[in-house]
Amino acid sequence: MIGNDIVDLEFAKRNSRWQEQRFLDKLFTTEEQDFIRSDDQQFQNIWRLWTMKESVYKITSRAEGKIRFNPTDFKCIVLDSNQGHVIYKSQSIATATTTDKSFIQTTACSNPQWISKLFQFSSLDYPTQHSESVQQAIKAYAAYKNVVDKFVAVIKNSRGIPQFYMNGHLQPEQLSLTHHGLYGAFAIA
Amino acid sequence: MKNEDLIAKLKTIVQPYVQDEDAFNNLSEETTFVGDLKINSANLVDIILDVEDEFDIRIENEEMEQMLSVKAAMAIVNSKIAS
Repeated sequence: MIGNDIVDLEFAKRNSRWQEQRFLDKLFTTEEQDFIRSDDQQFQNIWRLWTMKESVYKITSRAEGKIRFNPTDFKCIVLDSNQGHVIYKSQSIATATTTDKSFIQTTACSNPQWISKLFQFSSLDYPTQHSESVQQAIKAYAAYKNVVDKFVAVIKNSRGIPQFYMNGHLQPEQLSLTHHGLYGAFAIA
Repeated sequence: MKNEDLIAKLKTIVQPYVQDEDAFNNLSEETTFVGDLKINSANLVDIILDVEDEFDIRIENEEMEQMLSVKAAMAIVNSKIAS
C-alpha cells in the first residue's frame, strides 16, 4: 500500500492558521509539538509531520474503506531529515520525506519498492492539475511496464481511488496522487 | 438557527478553500468537503477553527473526526449552540 502528500510552502504560509496553538492541538500530539518547537524551523516541522500523517492516512483509509479526520491518531516518529515512521493503531509504516525551500513531500509505503516523481504546475486550476498528474503517472507506469502510453489508463473506482488499467485490465500496482498549490507528485508501488 | 442561515455561514467559511466551483455553487447538506469541494485536507483544520470562531464554540478532536460534510458540520454546530 502506498500514499503520498505534498505541501506547497508558499501556499501554506498564506492559506493556513498554522501559527495558532489551537491549530497545533487539533493536528499534533504533545510529543509532536515538542518536535515542532525543537528548533527554529517550526513552520517546516509542522508540514513535515503533516505530510507524514496524511501520506499514511491515505494508506489506512483505503484499507479501512472509510474517511475520517483523525490526525492525532497518527503518531509520527522522526528518524532523520528524510526517514520516519507513523504509528497508527498497531501498525508502523515507514515514510520518506523530501524538503525543499518551496515544498515538502512525503511518501509512505508498506514495502520499500516504489517510484515517485514530483512536478511543478503552470496553473492553479484543479482539473488541469489533476489531469496533468494522471498523465505523468501513466507515462511513468507505461515506461515501468515497458508498454506504449496509450495502453495504460487511470480510472477511479467507486470510492474515488485511482487505479491503473492496461488494455482494460485492472493492474495490481497502486497509485497515489497529491497536489497542493503549484506542486504535485505521484507515487506507485 | 435556521438551516438555510447555517448553510450560508458555512458556505462563507469554506469558500476560500474550495477548488471545485461547480460543486460549491450546487452546495447542499450532502456535499462533502474533500470529495466534492476538492478542499485540500491540509485546510480542513482551518475550516474547523473558522467554524469554532464563527459560532463561538469549541470542537473536540473526537467530534471533528466526522466533520467532513456540510451535514456533519451542521449537526455539530447545532448540538453546540443548542447546549
